[in-house]
Amino acid sequence: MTNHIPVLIITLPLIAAFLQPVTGFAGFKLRNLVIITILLVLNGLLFMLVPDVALQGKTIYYTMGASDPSQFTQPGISFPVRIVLKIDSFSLFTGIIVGVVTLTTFLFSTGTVKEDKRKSYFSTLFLLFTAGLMGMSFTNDLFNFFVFLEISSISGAALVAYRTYRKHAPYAGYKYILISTIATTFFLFGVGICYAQYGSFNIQYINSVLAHSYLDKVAMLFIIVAMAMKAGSVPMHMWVPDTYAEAPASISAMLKASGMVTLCAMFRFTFSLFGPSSSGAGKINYETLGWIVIVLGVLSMFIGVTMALIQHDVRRLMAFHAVSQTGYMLLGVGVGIAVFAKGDGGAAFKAFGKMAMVGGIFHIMNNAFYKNLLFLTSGVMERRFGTRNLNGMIGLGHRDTLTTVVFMIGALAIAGIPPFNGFDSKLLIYESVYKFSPVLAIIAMFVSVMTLASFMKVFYSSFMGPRRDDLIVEGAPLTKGTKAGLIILAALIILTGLFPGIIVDGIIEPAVTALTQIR
Amino acid sequence: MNGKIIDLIIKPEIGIVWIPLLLVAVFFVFMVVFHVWGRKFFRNDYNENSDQVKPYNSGNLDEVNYSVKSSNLYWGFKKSMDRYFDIMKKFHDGDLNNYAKWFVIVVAACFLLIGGGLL
Repeated sequence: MTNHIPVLIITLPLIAAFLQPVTGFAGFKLRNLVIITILLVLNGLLFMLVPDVALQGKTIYYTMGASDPSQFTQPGISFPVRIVLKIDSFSLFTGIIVGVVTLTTFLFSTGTVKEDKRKSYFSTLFLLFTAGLMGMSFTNDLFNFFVFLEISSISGAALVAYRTYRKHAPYAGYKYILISTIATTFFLFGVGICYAQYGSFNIQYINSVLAHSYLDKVAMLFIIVAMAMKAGSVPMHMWVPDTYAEAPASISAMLKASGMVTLCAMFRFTFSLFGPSSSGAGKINYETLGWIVIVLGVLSMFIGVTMALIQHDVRRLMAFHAVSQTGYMLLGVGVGIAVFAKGDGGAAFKAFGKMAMVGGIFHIMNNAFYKNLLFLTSGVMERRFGTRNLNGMIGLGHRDTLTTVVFMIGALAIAGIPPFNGFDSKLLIYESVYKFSPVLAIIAMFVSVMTLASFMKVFYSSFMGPRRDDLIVEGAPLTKGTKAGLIILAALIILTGLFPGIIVDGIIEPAVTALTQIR
Repeated sequence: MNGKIIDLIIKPEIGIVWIPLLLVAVFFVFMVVFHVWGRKFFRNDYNENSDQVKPYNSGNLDEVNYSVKSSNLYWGFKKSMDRYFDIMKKFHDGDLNNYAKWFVIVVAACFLLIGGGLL
């Protein structure tokens, strides 16, 4: 049974998605209970892999349809011929983020997304989205990655447009699918170039025979820029506020998780697919590539936060912050990439490059927790006041103590205030980036100050001031599921903030090692 | 912070330490101190059912228009960067054609880098 964990992680939500029309007949509560159980099992399976994969550094392969799935290649054949799933510390890290985010957002949505008892559109699409993200995290096959990317894009677009009774939601869904289609098409061009040259879709195999020709670099360009666009990096980020704002709050949180997965995929392709090949042929210029990532990161940070500051729509404001936070991750990992293959025998990488990458990757996890918490609290605010406009909100702190407290935790975490988790990853980024370029570190700190100012604006506008019950359109107390989603995320923010050493040693550092260890 | 990577930024010799339980303990001690101190020294004529709880804005007790609107916050900062925001708002016009153009521009710029042998 344990041998089949890799495939179970992907197939469980996939099977559950197709069972939704059946479980829907059993009633709303039972259907939700089944989904929550499946998501709990999913998280359990992921954490079962931590001792072997993250702590002991093992890599688990699962070859689909093979007599012995644990073998990378089949007897008598020197190269992989089937779809292979690969679980190493980095893919496990991505999977854990998806697992935690899907569980908490679904718990939240049980009390906030209304659906007719006999219909299961939302839950079906939600599980398909989860399956797509899990598949993207664990597949070692480029075409298979494309398929999962399509699954997540199509289900994501339908979820963005879920509230069809609203004026702009269907158009936002249309925008999401069109942007996704552009990205996936260019990704497919890149995959096609690789397949035409090397006759395989297997990432590890392609890397081992990669010639680093001009054509390979074109393929790399198509794949990495497409991933950057899906992750919402500036200047390809304009679709992010348009779509995140119109989706239900829980789906905005899932879209953010989707962005994190594509960002992780971008980093994986940079190293595992286009990294130095074992054949020893040529290599890409990591310093230039690192600087491209750094420039995208700095632009994302600055433009994201300044645009957030002038927003009155709480969800658009948070979406711009999502862009800004992506910039921190790009900056941290970009510095690591820039010094990765510097001709100094790896001295700069050991001195601060790896720390920058650890900071960037740690920020992905921290951001997944606090950004999702903030999106979920924006859902409560929208529900209470019936609007996303901050000008129409006031005094929510008098009514919803839990929402107020968790919002403060999320806001302080995103601004990098200790002892919350955003502080730990940002400190790692500041310290290491400063050694690379002090100017970049100062920009990052300035953006943090602007972030705090922006969230103080939200807190002042919506939570402070006199109690105004006449503005409340939905006063029903939050359900247990909704509260559970908020509390779990707030607890994770505090715990990872207080004990970052455990997370960094147990999950993040092994993930960075797996990423940079070219095999 | 007791991780290997994190050890690199913890420098007890210059006073950078990370003791989580101490942070939590200090937080609770402060809460208790403020609670006790507040009860003893803060005003004890506070009445929740009086006009004391209503906002006081330069003698104006108009609750409806009490709050400074979100759109007016940081007015000076926004005004000083008007030109920047005007340009940025044009880029975020909601037109998908313009969004796709930026993708093409980034791809083209990267092509130049590859063509120039920099990547």
